[in-house]
Amino acid sequence: MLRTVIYVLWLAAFVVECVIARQLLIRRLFKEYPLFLAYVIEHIVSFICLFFCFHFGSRVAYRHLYMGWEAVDVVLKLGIIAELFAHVFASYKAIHHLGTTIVRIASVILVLCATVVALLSNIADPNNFLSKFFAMERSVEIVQGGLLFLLFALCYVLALEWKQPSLGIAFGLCIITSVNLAMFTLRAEFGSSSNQIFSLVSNVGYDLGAVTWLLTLYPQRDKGHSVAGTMPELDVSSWNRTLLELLRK
Amino acid sequence: MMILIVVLAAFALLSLAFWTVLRNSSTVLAVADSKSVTEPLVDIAAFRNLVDPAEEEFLRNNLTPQLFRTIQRERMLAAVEYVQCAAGQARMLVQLVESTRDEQTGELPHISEELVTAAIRLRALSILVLFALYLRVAFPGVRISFVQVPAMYENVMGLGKLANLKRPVSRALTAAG
Repeated sequence: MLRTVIYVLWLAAFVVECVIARQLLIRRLFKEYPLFLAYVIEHIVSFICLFFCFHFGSRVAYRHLYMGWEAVDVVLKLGIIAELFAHVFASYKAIHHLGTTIVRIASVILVLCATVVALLSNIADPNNFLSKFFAMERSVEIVQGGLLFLLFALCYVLALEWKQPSLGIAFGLCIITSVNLAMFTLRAEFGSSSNQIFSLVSNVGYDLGAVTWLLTLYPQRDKGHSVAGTMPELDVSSWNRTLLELLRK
Repeated sequence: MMILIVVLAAFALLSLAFWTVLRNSSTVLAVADSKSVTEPLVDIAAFRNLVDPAEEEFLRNNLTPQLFRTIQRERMLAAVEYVQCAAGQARMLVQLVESTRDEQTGELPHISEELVTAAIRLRALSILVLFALYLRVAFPGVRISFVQVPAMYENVMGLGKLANLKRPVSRALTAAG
């Protein structure tokens, strides 16, 4: 039963990714988010290859192929985060170089943090390939999660405006990263005894992230203009009064 | 222990992202009027007095240590409110400029750019100063200078007023009277 659910989630992610790629191409967003498109296409291709290998290939071939795709996946995910930093800071000429600098410095610090976590943690079964693999994945997720946290925190501290679809892409990535971070940590610590449950939760997390991206990529009405346009004049002054009172508190 | 820290960090990341998405969808009305946002709401003279090192030295010399700590804590808490107000106003100014970017002509884009830069700097400084102020609430004896905040706030408000003057009279401004 559990295996069937995981299968369905795996297939659902593939379908959603195909629609995301289509939306990116139709809305010509690949010019602004080339690495995000590359990531989605990489996932579509990897699904086909891994699915084929899982059913018709050997276990060893599947493992090697999976490792290879994971390496590409890590690079592309870090690229997307750098792309998001660039987009958020791009509107602010005075600080737009700050984004790149922060990504570089933070990456070094986070790699150190991930190394410390790896050194301080116990791996449930040091001889098991999967345990080592999950411990490595956890370190990667720490770097990615830390960079995303930094991006959201900087936007709050510096009052930087998020624009769609950057916010949606970042939110989707946050869902995937945080679920993976928790799952890889638990898997690395507890070994392969509850692999299927962890795999199920990871798949649910990925599907949620992918659905978030899909929803973000569908054009939405500009709420800001529509609200301002329909707001009665008296409401504007009452809003101003409330705003002043709030600021004075 | 390590598992708990990493899992909590994952939860914190997800919560921050979720909160940002919620906040982003509810700040639409915050930019209805620029006039009230560019009006200085912080009493600069009072704030300068609160963080004046000479004033602090005077209180330190004339009050008992216990009374000084109590009064200093109260003064720092009052300063926290001023800084929070300045940081809030800086946020609104950034949002205001962002929302009116498409309708800017003439000198306005240049002034707006300066305004956004100054507001972002003020906000970043405000957050640091807030940390320092809370540190001083906890340890009233610690000496930290905050002289940059009032000057930066005045600069931002000046730019805000200038941007407001150069801005074409919009429906929202007229309605606000």
